[in-house]
Amino acid sequence: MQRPIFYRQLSNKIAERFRPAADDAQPAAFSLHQRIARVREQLSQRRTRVSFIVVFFILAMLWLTQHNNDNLIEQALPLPKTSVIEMNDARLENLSSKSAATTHEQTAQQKSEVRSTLSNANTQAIQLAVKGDVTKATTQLENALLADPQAGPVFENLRKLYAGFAAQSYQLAVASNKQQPITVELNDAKQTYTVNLPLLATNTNERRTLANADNNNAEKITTTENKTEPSTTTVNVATNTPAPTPTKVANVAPAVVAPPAPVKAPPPPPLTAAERREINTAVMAAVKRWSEAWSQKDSKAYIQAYAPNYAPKTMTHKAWVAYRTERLAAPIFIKVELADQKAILLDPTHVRVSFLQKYTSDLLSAKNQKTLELELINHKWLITSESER
Amino acid sequence: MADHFRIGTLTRASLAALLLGLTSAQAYGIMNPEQMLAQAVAEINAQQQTQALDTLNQLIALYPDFQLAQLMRADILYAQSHLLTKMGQAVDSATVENLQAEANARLSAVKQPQEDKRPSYLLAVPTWLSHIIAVDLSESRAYLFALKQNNMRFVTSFYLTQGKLGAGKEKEGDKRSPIGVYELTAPIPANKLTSFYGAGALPLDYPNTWDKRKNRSGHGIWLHGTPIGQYSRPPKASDGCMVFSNDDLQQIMKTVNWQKTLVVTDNPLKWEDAETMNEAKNQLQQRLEAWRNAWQSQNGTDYLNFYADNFIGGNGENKAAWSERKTKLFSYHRPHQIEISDPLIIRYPGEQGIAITTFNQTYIREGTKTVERKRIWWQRQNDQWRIISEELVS
Repeated sequence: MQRPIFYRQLSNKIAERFRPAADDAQPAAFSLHQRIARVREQLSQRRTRVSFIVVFFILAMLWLTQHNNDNLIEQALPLPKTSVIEMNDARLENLSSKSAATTHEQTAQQKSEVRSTLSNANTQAIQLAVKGDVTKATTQLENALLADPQAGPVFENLRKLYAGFAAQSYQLAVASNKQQPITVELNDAKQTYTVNLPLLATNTNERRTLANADNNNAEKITTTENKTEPSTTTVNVATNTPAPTPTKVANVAPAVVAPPAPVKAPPPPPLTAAERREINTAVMAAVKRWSEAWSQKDSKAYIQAYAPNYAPKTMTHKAWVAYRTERLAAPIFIKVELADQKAILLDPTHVRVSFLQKYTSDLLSAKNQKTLELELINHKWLITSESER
Repeated sequence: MADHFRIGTLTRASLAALLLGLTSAQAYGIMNPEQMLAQAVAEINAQQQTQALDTLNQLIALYPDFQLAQLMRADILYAQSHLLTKMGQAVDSATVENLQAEANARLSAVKQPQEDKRPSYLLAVPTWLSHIIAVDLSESRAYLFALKQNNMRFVTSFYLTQGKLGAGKEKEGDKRSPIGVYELTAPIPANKLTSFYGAGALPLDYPNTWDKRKNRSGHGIWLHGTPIGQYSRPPKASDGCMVFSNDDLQQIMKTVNWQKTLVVTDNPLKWEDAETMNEAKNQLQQRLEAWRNAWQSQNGTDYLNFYADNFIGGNGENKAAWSERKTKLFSYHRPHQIEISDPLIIRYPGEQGIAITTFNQTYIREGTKTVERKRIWWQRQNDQWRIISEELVS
C-alpha cells in the first residue's frame, strides 16, 4: 500500500504540473487512510523510533495471542474477495506513545489522550470490520474522526474540498462543456469561509486554437455549423474577436519587445490539451528512440539522445561518452524495455518522464524506476538529466 | 461483466489479465487514453487510489473532454468522503448510465485477438487489398489488420459507437448499424463537415448488392469522429454510423488507403483458425475454377447449372433471360479464353452460406483482350455453391 518515496515525490510534481488548477490547494496525499495517518503523526511528533520498534514487537506478540479468536472469525467470515482492505491497528503505536508520554510534559499526555480515543475507535472499527460489519465500521471511523475536537474540523473541511473537486469532475463527466463554478464552505473555530474552486481546465482553449488555425475555412465552417449545430457559440465568439496574431509570432515577439516596456509582460497562455498531447507524443518518441538505441548497442544514437555536453554529476562529458560507449559495447546483447511511462510537463520546453526500466543483457538484468528530464533543444527533445532508484 | 460496471467488482483474475495485457501493450511507446483508463481501474482495484488519481489527472490533462475519465476521477474524490458503492453514484443522470456502458465496453472487450485466430470472413486476399477493419458490434470494437498476400497482421483495435438500436440495419432511420462487407468511398475531410463529425469521415458503400436484394434501405453510413469537446460517445448513440474518437479516426485515416480497405461488420464477430478457413477457401476456389472452365468450354448445361434459380444479373436479368442469352451466345461456338486472377474470397457475415468472389477477369477472343473486375455472389443451395448474382465492378 505504501508507495515508494520516489513515487510520492512524483505525484507531488504531477499535482503541481498536470493536475487542473483546482487542485493547487490540495495536499499530496489523498487516501483517507493516509490522511488519518498524517493527523496522527502531527499529534505525536516526539515518538522515538527505537522505543516504537521494541514496544511494537512485544505488543505484536501479545496482540497475536489475544486475538487468535479474531483471526478465526476472519477465516470463517472472509471479506468479499475483491476488496480485502488493509486496516492498521493504531493501538500498538498508541501504547508506544503512551510509554513515551510518561517521560514528557502534560501537554503531550493530553494529546495522547485525544489519540487514545481515536485509536480505541479505530480498534473497535477493525473488530466490527473483521466480523463482517464493514458498513458499521465505516460509520464508526467517520464518527470518531468527526467527534474529535482537533481532527474533526480538519476531516470535515477536507471532505468538503474532496466533494467539491468531485462535483467539478462530475459536471464535466455529464456534460463536458458545461461547468458551473463550485463553492466550498470551510470552517475553523471562529468562522466560515466561502471558497471558490477554480474551474477545471477544459478544451475551450483548444477549440479557439482550432478555429484560429483554420482561419481560411473559418467562414465556411461557421456558416455550416450555424445551420446544424446549436452549440458552436464558442467557435463563433472566438472567430469574431480581432484577428489573432499567429502563435509563432506571439511566442517570439514578447522576448524582443518586452524589455523596454515597464509593465509586466502577461504570463504566457496555458498550454492547450492538444499542445500537451503533441509534446507528450514527441517526448515519448524521443524516449523510445533512446531505449532502442541502447537496445541496439548503437552508442552514437544513444549519445545523441542526450543534450550536447551532457554530463552526470560525477564526470565530464568526454569521460561520460567514453564510459557509456564502453558500457554499450561490453555485453553481447542488450534489451531495454520500458513500462508505465508517465510524463510531467514542467514547462513548454522541459518534461520529466518516469518509467519502469527493465534492462536485460548477457551480463546483467535489472529493473529500475528511472526518471529522465528532457529539454526541447533545436526542435529536438534531448535528455538533460537521468536518475534511477 | 454483463451487469453494470462497478468499481471493485472486477475479479482478481480479470484484473491480472488486464495488467498483463497492459504491460505487453505498453512495453514500448505511449499508453493510449484507454490504456490509461484501464490502468486507473487496475489501480483502484488494487486500492491504490493515489496512483489511480495521478493516472486520471494525467489523462484528463491530456483529454479533458474524456467524460468517462472525469467520472472516474470524480468517483475517487467522492469516495474520500462518502461510501461509494457504484460508479457515478453521486449523480443522477442518463449520461452516467451511458458512461457505465462505455466503461464496460472499453474495459471488457478483447483488445487483441488470439494469435492464431482471425476474423472468419476473409478467405483469400488479393494483392490490392492492404487493410481490413473488422468490426465487432457486440463488443463495440473495431480490429484493424494489415494484409500482405495471405499474411494478416493485427495492428490495433479501437472502441467505437454504433447505432442507438444496435446492429442489423434494415431500413432508413432504424438507428441501426449494418452487418455486412463494405468498401470505403472517398474520405470527407473535417473542413467539409460540421464539427459534429470531428476529425472527418470515411463513408461505407452501404447499401451493397446484397443489402439491395434484401430491400435494405438507408444511406450515409460513415465511420467518423466525435464533436470537439467530446472525446468519445456512448456505445450505442449514433443513427447507424460508426463513431470513433478523433485520435483513433485520424490513425485509421492515416494508416489505411480507402481504395485498398474493406470493412467487415458482424454481431458478434466470428474468429477462426487459418487452417479451417483454408478448407472453405479451397471449396470456393475450386467452384470458381469449375465455373470458369464451364464458361470457357461453352458447355451450356454445365455452365447454367452454376446459376441459382434466384439469380439476378448485374443488369437485372433473371435466370431465364440469362440462360436464353448465354445459350444463344454459346451456339455461335466462337472460341474464347477466360482467365481469372487475384481473387478476393469472402464469407459474408450475418448470413448462412453467402459468399463473394471478386477477381480480375481477362476475356480473350480473336486476339482482343478485355480485362475487367467481376464480382460473383454465391449462395449455398442443396449443399452446393450456386451463383445468385454476377456483376462487373470498378
